[in-house]
Amino acid sequence: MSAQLRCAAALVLALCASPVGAGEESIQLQDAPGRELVVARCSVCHSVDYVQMNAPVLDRAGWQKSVRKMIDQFGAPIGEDDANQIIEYLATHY
Amino acid sequence: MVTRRRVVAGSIGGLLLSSLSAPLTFGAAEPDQESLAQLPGKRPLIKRTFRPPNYETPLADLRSQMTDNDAFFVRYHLASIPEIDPRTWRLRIGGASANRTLELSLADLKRDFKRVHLAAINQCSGNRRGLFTPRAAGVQWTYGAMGNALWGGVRLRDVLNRVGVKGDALEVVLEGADAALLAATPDFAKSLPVDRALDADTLIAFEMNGEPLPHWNGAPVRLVVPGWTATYWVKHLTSINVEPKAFDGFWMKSAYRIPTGAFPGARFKSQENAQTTPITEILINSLVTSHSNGARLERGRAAELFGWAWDGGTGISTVEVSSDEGRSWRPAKLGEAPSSYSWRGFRMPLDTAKPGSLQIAVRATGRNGARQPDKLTPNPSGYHHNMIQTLTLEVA
Repeated sequence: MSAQLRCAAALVLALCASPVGAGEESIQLQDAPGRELVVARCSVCHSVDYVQMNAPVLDRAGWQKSVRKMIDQFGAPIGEDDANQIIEYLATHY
Repeated sequence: MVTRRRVVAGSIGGLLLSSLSAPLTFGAAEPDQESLAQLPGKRPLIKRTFRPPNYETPLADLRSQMTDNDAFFVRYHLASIPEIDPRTWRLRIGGASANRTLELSLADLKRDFKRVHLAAINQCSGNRRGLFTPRAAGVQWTYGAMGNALWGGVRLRDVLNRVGVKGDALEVVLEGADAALLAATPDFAKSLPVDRALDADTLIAFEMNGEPLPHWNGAPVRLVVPGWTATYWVKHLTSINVEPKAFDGFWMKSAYRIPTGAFPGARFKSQENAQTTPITEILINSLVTSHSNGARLERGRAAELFGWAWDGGTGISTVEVSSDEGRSWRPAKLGEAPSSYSWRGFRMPLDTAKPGSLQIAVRATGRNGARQPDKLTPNPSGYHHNMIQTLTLEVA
């Protein structure tokens, strides 16, 4: 079996093996202070791959705006202190 | 889950060449990672987010005239998505500008109204947002937040006429069963101008490519608004209200808006203000599906470029291909379109006689004279990406 074929076979196996609907728990955010808070708060409404997806797009001001949108427009019950810690983690690590 | 790297070979050379004189940009930034994952009933798709589920159709699954149901893209704003029993599902029709109210079962819809079939593109407003420069926040779609399907159902107009539309009707408000996890999050509801709701082509659909609608595409019943972006195609439809005033829901007043006057397309006047207006019609666009950027061609071996062109329902008149960075254009051979809301195929042989880079660009022109632009119109939400597509292919 060529390297390419082995690679293709591994790909097929991986696809078949992955349980349907699984995956969200596999997301690993950067291990740093604030991570548990981000996962606890943000995961109430959405998977945290939203963080990874928007990392190349958002700077500190962008993360701030995004977190404020979740609180002010989407009704996320997050207090000022937690919001500031979440923004700090996102701006520093993403 | 499988991760694969996008092939970007050749893009650097393209960038250098294009900086000399050509108006088109080659080697534009593309997201460098794509993950495939599988939802129940779907084949592996490009996973953008797990929850709410946002999954994009890979290019390889966009090569057929009708996009397969199990490959069709999935897009949700809110994570509570109920499995609806089609036997107990009901559609409620009413509102302040309706003469009476009505409740219909799926069997009622199928039995009491004329059946209609229409082929139409279903395209997310933010399709290709991930290719925007400058970058725009939101789901980072590339090319596959779209598909073409044959929709089967009944006319919204026929259902509205059954309740009677009053003379003061301004908008028709549509709600689906999908909901937010928090009570404080705005529920997903959209409105249409009453004339668009009464258009003969606006459908209440329960079939997709001859099959019942897939769960992830709105089962048992969704709205189909051919020519308008998918935000209006409300899934898991549960209520339709005819109203005398502009609907003030979040998804109309704050989301899915573009700068007023920045783009062509139908105007949604009752929702427009001086700064922003709702996105409406799909703009003219095209997509090469035979090759992706950086693909390698064997020297001397026959090769053909093919793909699709579409617009908001005017229909495509020409598709042109340039292989010299946009200096000269040649018309591609066009296929038939099953309807003016469907995409239309194009083909062009590729010259593989000489080794080196082929700088390919494709532009579509509509029957109304509209043509794909060579620049993006910046807008905060990254909507309406319909810039001429450029690819660098390597002959070796």
